[in-house]
Amino acid sequence: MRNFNAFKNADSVKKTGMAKRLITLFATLIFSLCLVVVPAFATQYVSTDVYVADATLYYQLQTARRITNRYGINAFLLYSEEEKVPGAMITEFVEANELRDRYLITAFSGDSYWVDWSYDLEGLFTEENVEDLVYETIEFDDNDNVVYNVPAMAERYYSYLDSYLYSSDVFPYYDKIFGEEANPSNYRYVADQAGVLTDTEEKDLNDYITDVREKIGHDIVIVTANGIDPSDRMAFADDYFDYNGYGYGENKNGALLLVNIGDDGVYSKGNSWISTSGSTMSLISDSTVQKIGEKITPMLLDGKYHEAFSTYINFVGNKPKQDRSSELLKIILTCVGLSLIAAFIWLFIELNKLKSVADAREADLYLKEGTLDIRRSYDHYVYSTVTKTEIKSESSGGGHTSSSGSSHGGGGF
Amino acid sequence: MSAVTQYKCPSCGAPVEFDSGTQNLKCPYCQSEISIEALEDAAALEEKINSTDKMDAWDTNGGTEWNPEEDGVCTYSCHSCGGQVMGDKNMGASMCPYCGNNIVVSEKFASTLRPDFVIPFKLDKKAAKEALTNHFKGKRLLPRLFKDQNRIDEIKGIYVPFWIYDADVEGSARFNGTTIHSWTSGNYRYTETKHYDILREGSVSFENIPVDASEKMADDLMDSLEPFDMSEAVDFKTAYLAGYFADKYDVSKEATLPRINQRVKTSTETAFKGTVTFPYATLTNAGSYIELTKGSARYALLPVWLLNTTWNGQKFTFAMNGQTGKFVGNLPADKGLCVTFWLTRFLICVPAAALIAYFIWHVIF
Repeated sequence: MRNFNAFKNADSVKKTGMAKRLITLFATLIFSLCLVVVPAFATQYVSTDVYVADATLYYQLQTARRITNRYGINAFLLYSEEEKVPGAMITEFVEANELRDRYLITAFSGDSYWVDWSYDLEGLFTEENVEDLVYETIEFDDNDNVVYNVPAMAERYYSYLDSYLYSSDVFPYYDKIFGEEANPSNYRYVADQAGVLTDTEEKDLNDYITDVREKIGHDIVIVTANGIDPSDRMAFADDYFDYNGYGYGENKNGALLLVNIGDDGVYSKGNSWISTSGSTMSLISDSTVQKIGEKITPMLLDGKYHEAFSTYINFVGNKPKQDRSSELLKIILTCVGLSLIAAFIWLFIELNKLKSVADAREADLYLKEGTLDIRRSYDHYVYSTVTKTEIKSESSGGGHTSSSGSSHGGGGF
Repeated sequence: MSAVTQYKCPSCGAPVEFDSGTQNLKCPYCQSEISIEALEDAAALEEKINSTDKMDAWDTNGGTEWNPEEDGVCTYSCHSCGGQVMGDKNMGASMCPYCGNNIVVSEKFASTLRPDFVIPFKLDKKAAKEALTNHFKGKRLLPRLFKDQNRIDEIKGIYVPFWIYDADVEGSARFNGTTIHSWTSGNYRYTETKHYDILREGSVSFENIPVDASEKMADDLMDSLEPFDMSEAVDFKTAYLAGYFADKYDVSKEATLPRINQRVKTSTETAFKGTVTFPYATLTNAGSYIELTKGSARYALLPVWLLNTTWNGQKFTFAMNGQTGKFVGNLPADKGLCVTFWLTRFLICVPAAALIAYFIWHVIF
């Protein structure tokens, strides 16, 4: 770490004019260097120029962070206004930040660019596909000159990169994406096997989930499928969750929504299941599952899958907050209500003690024993009424163990 | 084929038709089926119950007349409130049990009935005072001043005139019973409620039903002193009156009949209901018809300790059964005490209720 003591020195007041100016200049240089270097040790993805003291544009982009979290790949975008050799920029950057693996760096300067990636990502990135990446990133004006707008470039760069990594082209490179423990469950939370979502919708939901799950500490998974028998829903959902390695934290917290669509592409009631694991089991209770069902079933029936799934994610994401405040309110109201009623009952009992006088309405005490003689009686059946109520759902109520041995909660609708 | 009488479906009220297949009556609207026997019985019973009870067999005669000379009784009337009591000839001047003023002795004797029997006083004034103090115990809402300022000396022993009734009754009591049965089929839960028309018809007897025969004595107060143990009743002798007042009867038997009839009807229904042994899910009364086959009354004097007191401008009357010691009388409630009582109980309940509420919302839901 660089030394900061230089500009903490209050003795500068005592020095003479010339000396004062020198020290101020020296201090500024040190300060700028610190500004430059220290943040570089914090993750900073875009640097407009690492070497000049007055460059101060650093962007922490959400997309950039997401890529790191999701894929474990650090993607950097370097730009220098001053003409520099992009390749050299990259080399210096790699050395300065001691990058060793799992990185992709693109550098722009003047008319040229250079892209470099770590050896372990070979195959994931090739000369062809990085060229696409570059041309997606930059913008040309009417005279075919490059227009550099770093914020906009960074946006485009990371979006394209995210889409690329997310797309099915990438699946053969699981092991590159997460090392040996590659697992779609680390970044892929929406599996649209029934094909009812467009690619954009699927990615949108996935992004949403990725953002939410960190905050709440639970995985949220959505799976659509065809041809699953309603009686198999629970087993399928539980197994999908376990065998694909979903689950946040050591308790493997998570909620998986399985929606089975008919072969004709139409959804019908009773084909959904929510499987919960870890602390999500108590977070999403049976009644909550039914509430979710009530909310999203109309959307599913209407074919509005994206809307339904967004609602689902919203619900689970907001559950802890919602729950705590509404639960507290419910507890307070119930407590007050119960106490009120109990106190009144107590009062009425005590008031009743004051009353001892009333008209006699019967003469039961004066029935002569042995004189009761029933000479005729009948019990005739007259008519019946039958009522029919729909059973809301078959919730599992409590936990059950899936075939992989871990226990799950949840319910269906 | 239509019957002369149009029968109505007990479920929906539409006219029923005879169904030759099942040999029952069937309702074309709600598909209810009922046997002819059941529907006829129900119709007949309905008619019976809606007719007025026949209670005219009461024997309103009875009771022998006094022979004042032989019996040695006088009527005393009070100067200030006009209350009249009977008393031993030799009683002399005393305080009016109704208003507390002095009674003027009067030798005029109005013709009145001689009691058939009497239950003598078993408990004395001291016992009555103790009972009064006990009556105040454990009543947290009683104004404190009430207890302290009580004029305990104002206790009078009175023989209250009662008509004592015996009755033999014929009755038909109707009940509605239901059974409930549920089952699940597919995605639905079915609940079938079967309705039954129930009849119990027969006879039962009552004895010694007391009704107070004094206008001045509040009926509800006297009712609350029940029961008196009639086995300790003795033939009337004037000597029993010594030291006590005896109120004279001024309510005729006829006037008490409505109260008696109501009590008899209710108890007949209850007694008959007790014979319904089938465990119905619900069993409700649906009216009754009763007929008095024999009804007689005797005139008796029953012992009562009476206390009047005034507090805060209100008049309070307490009574104690002079034989059994049962003490009754409504007490006032102190509004301030009510409020503080409620508040303290509310605060006490809050911690327990909080625990219960937490349990409900955290564990169950």
